[in-house]
Amino acid sequence: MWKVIIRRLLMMIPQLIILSVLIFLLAKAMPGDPFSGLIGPKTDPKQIEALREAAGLNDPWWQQYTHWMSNALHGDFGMSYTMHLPVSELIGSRMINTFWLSLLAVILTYLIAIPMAIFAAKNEGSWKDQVLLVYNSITFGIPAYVIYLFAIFVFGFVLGWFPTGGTVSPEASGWLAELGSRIYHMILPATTMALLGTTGIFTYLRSGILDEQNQDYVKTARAKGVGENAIFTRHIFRNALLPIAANFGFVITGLLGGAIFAETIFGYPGLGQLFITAITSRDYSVITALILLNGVLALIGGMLSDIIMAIVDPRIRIE
Amino acid sequence: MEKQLLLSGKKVTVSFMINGDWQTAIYQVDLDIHRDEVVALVGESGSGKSTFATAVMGLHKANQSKVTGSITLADQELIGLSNLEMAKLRGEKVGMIFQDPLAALNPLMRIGDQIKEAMAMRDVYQPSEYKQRVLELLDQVGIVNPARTARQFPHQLSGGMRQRIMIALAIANNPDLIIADEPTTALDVTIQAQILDLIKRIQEKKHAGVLLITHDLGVVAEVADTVAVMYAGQLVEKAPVAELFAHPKHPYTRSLLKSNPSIEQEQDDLYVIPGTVPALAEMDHHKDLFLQRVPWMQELADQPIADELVEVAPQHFVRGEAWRTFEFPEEQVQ
Repeated sequence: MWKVIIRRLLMMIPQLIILSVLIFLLAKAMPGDPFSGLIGPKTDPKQIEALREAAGLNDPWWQQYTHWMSNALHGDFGMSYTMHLPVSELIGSRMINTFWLSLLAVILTYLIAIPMAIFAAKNEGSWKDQVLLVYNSITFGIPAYVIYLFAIFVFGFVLGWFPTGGTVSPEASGWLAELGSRIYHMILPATTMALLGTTGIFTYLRSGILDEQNQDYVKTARAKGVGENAIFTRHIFRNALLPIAANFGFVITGLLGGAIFAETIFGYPGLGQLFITAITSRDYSVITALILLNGVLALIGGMLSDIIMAIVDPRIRIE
Repeated sequence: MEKQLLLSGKKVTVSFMINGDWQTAIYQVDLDIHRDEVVALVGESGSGKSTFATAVMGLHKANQSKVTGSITLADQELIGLSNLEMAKLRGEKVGMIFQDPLAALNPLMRIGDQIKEAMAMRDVYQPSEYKQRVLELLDQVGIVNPARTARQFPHQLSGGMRQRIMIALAIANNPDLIIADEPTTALDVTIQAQILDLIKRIQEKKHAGVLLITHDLGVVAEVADTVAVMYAGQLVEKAPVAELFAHPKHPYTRSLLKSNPSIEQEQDDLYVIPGTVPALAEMDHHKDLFLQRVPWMQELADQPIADELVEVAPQHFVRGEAWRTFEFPEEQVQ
């Protein structure tokens, strides 16, 4: 088992290098540089050129890349051009917000999707199954922001049950009140995200259960005299969970992308909101860092999927 | 001495709900299995062999199938038992070996745990005894290193070993009756004989009855005591093995034997039975359905015949009268 994990971790190194080179080159390909904006009618082009030379922008790309990369490895992603703060500082504070929101949303998604899939599979073909299938097609098909806006309007403005923005209310004093306030601010966005995000898990698990329950080994278990409940939990459900485990990596990968809409609409200051702000203001250093972070998340997601698969499915373990 | 009757099937009929219609898959099958007896159930794919075995195990889905007639196992009527009552008998009184051992073992569970699960349903052993019992069983089915195999997963074993595991599962609770559904079909030819030998040995040691489902007449000749031949959901002939091979009566039995290669006779072409088993919807069980596939006996094919088999020699039962006049074309010429 440890061998699989270490092997998988080692595999990430070349992946990370390729990813960072690609992102660096794409960022380089974008028009302009930090000093383009400084050019005015009174600036001396020679002065700008000197600044470029000093900043290393005239070096060959691979030198610039190693410079950028070694800084990045030290946690230095440069300065935000619009907010005049270190990128790492900007990202750091918001990353924690996004982390908690995403974690809550992911947990809620699984808590909703798994029982839903079991219930649908056990009632296959009946109206209960049909209702859940239709629900999942609708939530998959509708653009998420439509529902987000609707949720804010109904539960935030009309009913006033939940706050319509922010992460913590300024009145909260003491760590307990602050924690409560933080959770309170996350409930509406996290629940809405979870209710809209069930489709993948629901579909994989439902069809997994339907497939597995007709497998021969289920017949064997019945022939052994195993009771129906044990057959479901020990045999059918365990095997049907395999695709869910594989899917977990994609869920991780999709988090930041999903957060872009949710955080922007729910006014939640996380990475997603920062991403939108950075893109609209052409804040390249922030964009580059966020894309790199997203790429790293995708790699980690894939790795987690592989490791989880190796844990749950003995056929995948490489001896 | 009359052997103890283990399983008695009387007029066993199984219908399935297919596209809104009840269609009869097996019709009025009478079959008895005694202690110390290996009964082979022979027939082409689609003849209803497995349907019969599944009915004995009570594994047909209640909402999509209907089982009528009577199946008694050690004097207990099985038809009409609830799924819970049936689950208690499965494994305990009757064990089953399936065709494809890779598909029939849970890929995520260790071999030892799968065998343990079969015994854990019964509460006969102390928790500490299970491990020892698992190793004993693995040893009984000829696994060389039981401790190692118990820790392995199904995909790590060879096909022959997997089938040995299936046998260990089936006999874990010492059932009186073992149903083996095509136990050698998915195996290498070299392994087939070993597995058959193992089944036979375990049957003799435990004085169990075995229902062996197969389409392989070589297997039948090797291990069976009694042979029942099935066609389109009905028994067409039933006899002790020597009698059946020496004096096959029903046209279907004779065609089957004729289509099997023989070492004694030099043959360029094997006999091929024309046509296929009719679809369920087209089966009229009041006729001799096989005659539809005998072009030169069409006048008899439409005549209704009795459901019961007729005893034509001691312990030798045949369905209908067509066997009296049936001849292969080249025999007619001579």
